[in-house]
Amino acid sequence: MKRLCLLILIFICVASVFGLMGCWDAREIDRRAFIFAMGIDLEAGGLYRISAIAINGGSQQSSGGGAVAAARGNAVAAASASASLGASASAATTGDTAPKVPVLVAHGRTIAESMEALVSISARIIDLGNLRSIILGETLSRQGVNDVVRAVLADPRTPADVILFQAQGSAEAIIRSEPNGEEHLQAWLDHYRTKSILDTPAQYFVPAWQFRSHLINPGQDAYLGAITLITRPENDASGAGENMSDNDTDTTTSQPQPQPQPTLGGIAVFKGDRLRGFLNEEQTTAFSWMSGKAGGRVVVSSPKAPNQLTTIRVTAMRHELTVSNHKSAAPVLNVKLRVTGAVNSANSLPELASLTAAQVKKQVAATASILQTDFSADLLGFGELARRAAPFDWQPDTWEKQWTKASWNIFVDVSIQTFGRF
Amino acid sequence: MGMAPGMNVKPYRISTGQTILLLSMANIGAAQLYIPSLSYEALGRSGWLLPLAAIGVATLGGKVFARLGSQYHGRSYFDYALVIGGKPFGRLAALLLAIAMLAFVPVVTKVFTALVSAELLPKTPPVIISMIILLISAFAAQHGIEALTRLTQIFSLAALPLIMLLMLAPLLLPLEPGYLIPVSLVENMRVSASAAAAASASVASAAAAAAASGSMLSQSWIALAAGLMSFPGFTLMTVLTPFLDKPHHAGKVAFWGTLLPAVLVILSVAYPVMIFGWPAAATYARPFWEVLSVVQLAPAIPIQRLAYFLTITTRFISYITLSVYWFAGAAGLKAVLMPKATPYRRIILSTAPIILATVIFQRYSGGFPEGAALVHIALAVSGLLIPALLLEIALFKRRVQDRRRGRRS
Repeated sequence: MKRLCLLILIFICVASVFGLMGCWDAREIDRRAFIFAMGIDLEAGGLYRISAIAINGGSQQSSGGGAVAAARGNAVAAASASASLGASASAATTGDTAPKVPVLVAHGRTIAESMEALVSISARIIDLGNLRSIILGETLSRQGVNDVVRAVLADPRTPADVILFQAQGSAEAIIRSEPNGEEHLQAWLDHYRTKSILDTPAQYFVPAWQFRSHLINPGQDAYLGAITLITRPENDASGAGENMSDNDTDTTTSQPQPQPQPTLGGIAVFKGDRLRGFLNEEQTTAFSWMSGKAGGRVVVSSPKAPNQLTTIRVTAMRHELTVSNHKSAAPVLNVKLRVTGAVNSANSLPELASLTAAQVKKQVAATASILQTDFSADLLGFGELARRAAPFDWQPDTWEKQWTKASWNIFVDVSIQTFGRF
Repeated sequence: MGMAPGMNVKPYRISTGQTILLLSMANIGAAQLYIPSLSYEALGRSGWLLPLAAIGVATLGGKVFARLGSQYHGRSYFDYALVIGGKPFGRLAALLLAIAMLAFVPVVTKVFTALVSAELLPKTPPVIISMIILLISAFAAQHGIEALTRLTQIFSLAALPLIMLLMLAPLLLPLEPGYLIPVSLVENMRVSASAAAAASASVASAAAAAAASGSMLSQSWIALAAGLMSFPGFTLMTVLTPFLDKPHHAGKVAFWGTLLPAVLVILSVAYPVMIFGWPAAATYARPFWEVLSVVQLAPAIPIQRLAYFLTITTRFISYITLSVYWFAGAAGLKAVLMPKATPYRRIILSTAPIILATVIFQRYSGGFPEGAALVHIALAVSGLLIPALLLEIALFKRRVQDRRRGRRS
């Protein structure tokens, strides 16, 4: 009897396994389309428009990114989504030329509806598990992104570590852009991200969870890496600087029109959940320094020889941010930077160090002024520092008023090392 | 028993270390009912202080059972409760605790099922998952406490190192301990109250606003009360004490068996605050899961599926929790209602359909689990307050007896 009970128990356990696994729910790679990057725009009618790079799995044309396999012109044709839902979805191609990768477009009244429309657009199973980047359109961000970010991140199909970017202009245009030498936008972003932080400021790659935390937590404003499209002459965009004489020829007759190229060269500044504006590359570098991140270059010239320029690479950075007089109407924001620079050759290092310190201080002060006066945005979290200093007295509303009247006290100390041959 | 002569083995006894391990596992399994977001709501950014208070409660409970166990050596609470409290009160007290322990099983099973269903097997009917969980737990429970301690030892070899690693993994993220400031219950209570008021202000009608505010505050208080009983493993000392080779170590066992789970819960509550900030952390349903989801070795090198390791490990541990509570409840029912010769298997199998039905009909949407809070409060009453009262009665009786003996002598 005991043995029989045991056998029945084992049978039930084993039989139940067939009810658990995916005998009817196999997940084959060649039946799926992988979304790697997604753009979200707000249309004039108030509809959300989602555009996404969709890579079909199982294709023979694979490149760089492992499962990345794109069939040229393999855009998935799809009919409109249910009209009763008010959502529609359509496949799209890039202008007259065939795109390198398919771009799916869907729209809906809410983000959730748009995403459902996107998922139902293709005959393949749409897999959002590899989504690595979400680009927010400028119109959308100017209206406020809190609800959008919340809706996107609340979807369990969206990876928690997805990176958010801000488009200068339309997000869809950036999604459709074809970076030179790269298969698609996400491959281009991946390569950027794996570069040294000395070459690419870490501020360009803000995880969605971090951005959302900055939106929700009082005492610090949010920022995102900004992507913009720039049309350069074909050879200039490659960056090689070769065959420059070709630019003199008439490109309209002998060469195709140069495609606009995505550029990652600044950050988007938010106040609350609304986009206020953008910092350019130089300002972003200064902001990186204030955040304690090394990278970028400083170009200085000696007063004795104004035409002789020296470039110093910022290889290490230590920072200290404090708020003094935090209870007064005009608190003092202290930024202390200890910079280590590298130069290939220099004759007078002490003089170069003081020149570099002056230049860094000038750039940092200019950026701080823009953040404070133009955008009223506390990206460095001085409000949070003031809260920690007086947690029982600190109020977000009071800090808003204090922030605009705060004065800056910037201290920069530079040490220079030489690495060159001479 | 076929043992080599001279071997220092005590058959049918469990050591202090084994019991600590068993209680740790039972408490880790029970801690999944702990809702960090509610502790943030109750105590704000100092929500991580709540598990510290829970250690105190568990130690106190362990001390009570240690004192009772030393007075009634070799007998379980379900036996000596009748002796101390007399048949009606003692039997009621024992029955209440047995039912509270059995009621813990469907609550844990429901949360277990919900997690497996949401994260691992979304297309499998939850009833199937619950049935399998209960079948495995029942199979383990019917073999008694010695088998469960051995099972715990085997599980802990894999589970404990993995849990330790998962608890260290968030150190790879930029931590801001400053987000935990101020460490103050008063400040956070004030903030919680204003948050509740702000939330209610966004509700349209005044009556609905008042109701929403009242509901949020009452939930906070219930969560606070239930949070103090987050580690109810010490109530298992009711049945474990007679098996202990050193029964006077019951208090020590309860303390150490609560410390490890409490440290884990403290970290799992404090990490999200240090990483996301308190207001953001409070918005997540499972904040520590989110922390593990965003852990990266380096800026571009994520550790994929790290959070799933937590789910799988805690699922294994949950089997121990379910089995040991099921066994303890069955032992209580047997002592109070059934003949001594009744096998545990019969009791466990006869309670299984009721437990399954409770799991199926229990409403749980992933939010505030009223059922779990009620069971925690029932365990606090029947597993801490009533035993403490019985201890007082037992001590009083003893004093009276000693006086009588003194007079006679």
